[in-house]
Amino acid sequence: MLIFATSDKGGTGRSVTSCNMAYRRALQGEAVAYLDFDFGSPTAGAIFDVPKAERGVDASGLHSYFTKHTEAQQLDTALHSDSDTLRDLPRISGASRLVLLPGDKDGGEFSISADMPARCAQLFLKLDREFDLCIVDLSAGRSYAVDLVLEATARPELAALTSRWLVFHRWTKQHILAAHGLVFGEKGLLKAGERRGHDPQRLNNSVRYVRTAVVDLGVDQESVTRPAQGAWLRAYDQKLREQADKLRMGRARLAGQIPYDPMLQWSEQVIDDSDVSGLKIANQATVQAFEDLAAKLSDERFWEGL
Amino acid sequence: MSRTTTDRDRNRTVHDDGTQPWLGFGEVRTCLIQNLGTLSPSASVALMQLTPGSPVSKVDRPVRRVVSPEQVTGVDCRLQVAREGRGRAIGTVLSHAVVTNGRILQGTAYVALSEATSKERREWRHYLRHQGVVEVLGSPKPHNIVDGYLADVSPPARGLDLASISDRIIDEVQQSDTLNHTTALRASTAVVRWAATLAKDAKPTVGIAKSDLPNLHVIRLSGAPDDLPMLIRFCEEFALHEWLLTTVQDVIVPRAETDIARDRDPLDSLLFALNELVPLWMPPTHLSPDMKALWEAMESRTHYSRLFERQVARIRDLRDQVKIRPPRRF
Repeated sequence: MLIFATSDKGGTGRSVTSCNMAYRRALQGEAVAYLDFDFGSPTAGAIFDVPKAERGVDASGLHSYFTKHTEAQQLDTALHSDSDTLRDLPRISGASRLVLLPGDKDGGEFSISADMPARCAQLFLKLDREFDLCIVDLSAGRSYAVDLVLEATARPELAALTSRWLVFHRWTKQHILAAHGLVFGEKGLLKAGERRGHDPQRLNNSVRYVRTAVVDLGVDQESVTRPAQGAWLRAYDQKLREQADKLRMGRARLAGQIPYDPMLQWSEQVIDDSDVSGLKIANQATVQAFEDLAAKLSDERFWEGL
Repeated sequence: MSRTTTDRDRNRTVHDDGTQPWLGFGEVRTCLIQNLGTLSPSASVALMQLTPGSPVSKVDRPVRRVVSPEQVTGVDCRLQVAREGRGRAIGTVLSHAVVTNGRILQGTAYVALSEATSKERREWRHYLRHQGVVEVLGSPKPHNIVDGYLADVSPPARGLDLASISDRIIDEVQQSDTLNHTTALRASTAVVRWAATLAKDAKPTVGIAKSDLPNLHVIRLSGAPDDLPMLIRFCEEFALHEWLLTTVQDVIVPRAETDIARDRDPLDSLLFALNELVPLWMPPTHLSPDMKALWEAMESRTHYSRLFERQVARIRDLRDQVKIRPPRRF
């Protein structure tokens, strides 16, 4: 299965959420490949704490795979990460592996040449032979990377592969509108997909939304100190829900809601249960949200046509 | 890198002027064919028809083995030499694909290295006459060339890049529109990299080294120059059996155990292993006395057959366990 993670704006927590989702799936026993398609500024290496890929690798990253036709290197996080969480993954019973396909340092965006969609499809096919799940982290906004994967997934050799899209946005009026534009706009995913041979209805059925950095009014008691403040937040939250419903981004299409977590605002990293129970630096609700989102990816009822 | 394809003589590694190769290098990759069902004999032959008009070779027993025509890739690159010395390699690399029992795909690239026939690069016509041979310009010591090649494992390759050639032939076959591209079982691609030291009248020997990278095996061989085709075949057979053992041991069994622990049904993959993978365990000892000796030398250190039998017994146990007490279905 291919999961494309995208967002209209930067700073939505798309990458950190996707990395944690990848970790959760590996923990549940699925072999996961994480592809850093943010060619301009690869970040997954930093989140997975892989020193040699912190800002992309020197050679043989995904950028060179497309532009220089080199092999794309695969870094098993259990061997290359400095994070104890990831290094310990193989020792957990029933867990599988989590492999990073990093971007290149100094990569930059590139325009798509004629052979790239076939090469992209070839890469996805190759990874599908080895991995249960491939998470493709696209950059924020409409980029060449988005066009590339839309073109690749429209090719006949990928017809048997399941592709799903997660659109990340923060829980504000502007972010909801922007995410809506990214999918439904004139230059949006659906229009761009249709031009490349996708059925827009089917494509839309494969899109779900992830709300990030959402203030949880039940948990964040400390930050909501005055009654008037709480009342206002609840009323505004309701307004945002109505807006999302109207834009076809409501509950039925909600793949996950990631609570605001101070730790992740400062340190984008993979968190495990010990960060919650032992060190108590992350919130239980955050880990739970990653877990729920990971579970949703393969919940067929959730992805059935609406 | 340019590529031309011909149907000329396959394993001609001895030069017209009598120069004998002193090294042989190769890489074999092994994976499952991306197709839900087993390919029929005719579908396997069609899949291996990489060069229209050139013959595909097919053997039906003890397992069905279909081999593509040789592909020729021209190379002119620097050699990765360990310790001291520099060298340049010019010539052609041969590669082919193999389908075993309509299920397993192997891509193999190999080359014989010999002394340069000239101090400078000659016309391509000359190198194309000796397919599968690269001439070494410069005078690095053979053991330094071997160590340099065997250690040059993380991409991008710094020297002779047989990895890309064997990888490319796999991708080419897997992209074929005759396949339905549905993965029957997710398993890693295994890589075997080998180097053979060749000397007149040398007896074939084999040594298998551990590597730090997962799914990579490194083999050192020796033999006479005429043994090279046999050594290539040995490496392909080793790669196939190594892949079978690893897949059963690291994919099928642990997954079934996890499935049972989590009340999921593991029967599909257990039966896939018993019906599709286990019958492929067929050491190539029938091929020739030398092959038999090599295989037994390898077995005496790795005990692969015994390890495989143990895994098969474990799979049968798990299957019986599930039959007696089927997992709860919700």
